[in-house]
Amino acid sequence: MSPEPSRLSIEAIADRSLAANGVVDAHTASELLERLRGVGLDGDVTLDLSGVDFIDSSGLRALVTAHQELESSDHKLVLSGTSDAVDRLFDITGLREHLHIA
Amino acid sequence: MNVPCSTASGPHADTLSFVLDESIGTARARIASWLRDRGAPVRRVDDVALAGSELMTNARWHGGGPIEVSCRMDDTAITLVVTNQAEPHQVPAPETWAWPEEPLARSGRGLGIVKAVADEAQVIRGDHWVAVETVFELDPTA
Repeated sequence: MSPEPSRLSIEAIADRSLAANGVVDAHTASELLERLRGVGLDGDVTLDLSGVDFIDSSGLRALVTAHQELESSDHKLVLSGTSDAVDRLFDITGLREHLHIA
Repeated sequence: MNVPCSTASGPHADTLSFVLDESIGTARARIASWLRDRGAPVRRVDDVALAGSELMTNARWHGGGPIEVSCRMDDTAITLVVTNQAEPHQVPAPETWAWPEEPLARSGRGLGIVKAVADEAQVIRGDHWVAVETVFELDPTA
């Protein structure tokens, strides 16, 4: 069986709320950031990462960028769910205490 | 070929080597699948996949020329080597791999992540290549 390539799916699950599933790496992080930006800066944005089975520093860059852009508009990026892979990377990097995790 | 040899050894050593001419995600999945097939612990497979993703991304975006990936597993350790041939990029020494000073910096975490999940890391430089070797120890009692 050939290995699966990087794959990310993002779905809108409610108003201003997205869910990401799959892989967030150098190939897919820009897609995640653009979807977050597409929600707009006029309110909080909720992102469920519980379906992310792989994330690396490219994915963190997308999350931090969206976080900062919303903060600069006095709003928040709220991470409503995290997977084991996401939790581990947040713990390794110490980002957990700097992001809004519901 | 100037790829440095792994220092890992043992009676059951096995090596996966390939030129990175596919997506990093596909290469990452190939390495993980190869390690799982050889009974590597899940956490170590995750560690190698994460470090490999960072190193292959750096090699592709900051380096040039062919990129060779080698993953060796024996009874005591997994050794992952990512080598840029022809156009080596400037990889800082592992002693300097650290987190960004600003906690919410947008970038600069890749090598810190590698350092956090690998037990050993070294940068090996040749005249026309640079290799990053990372070692992930295996607990024989696990």
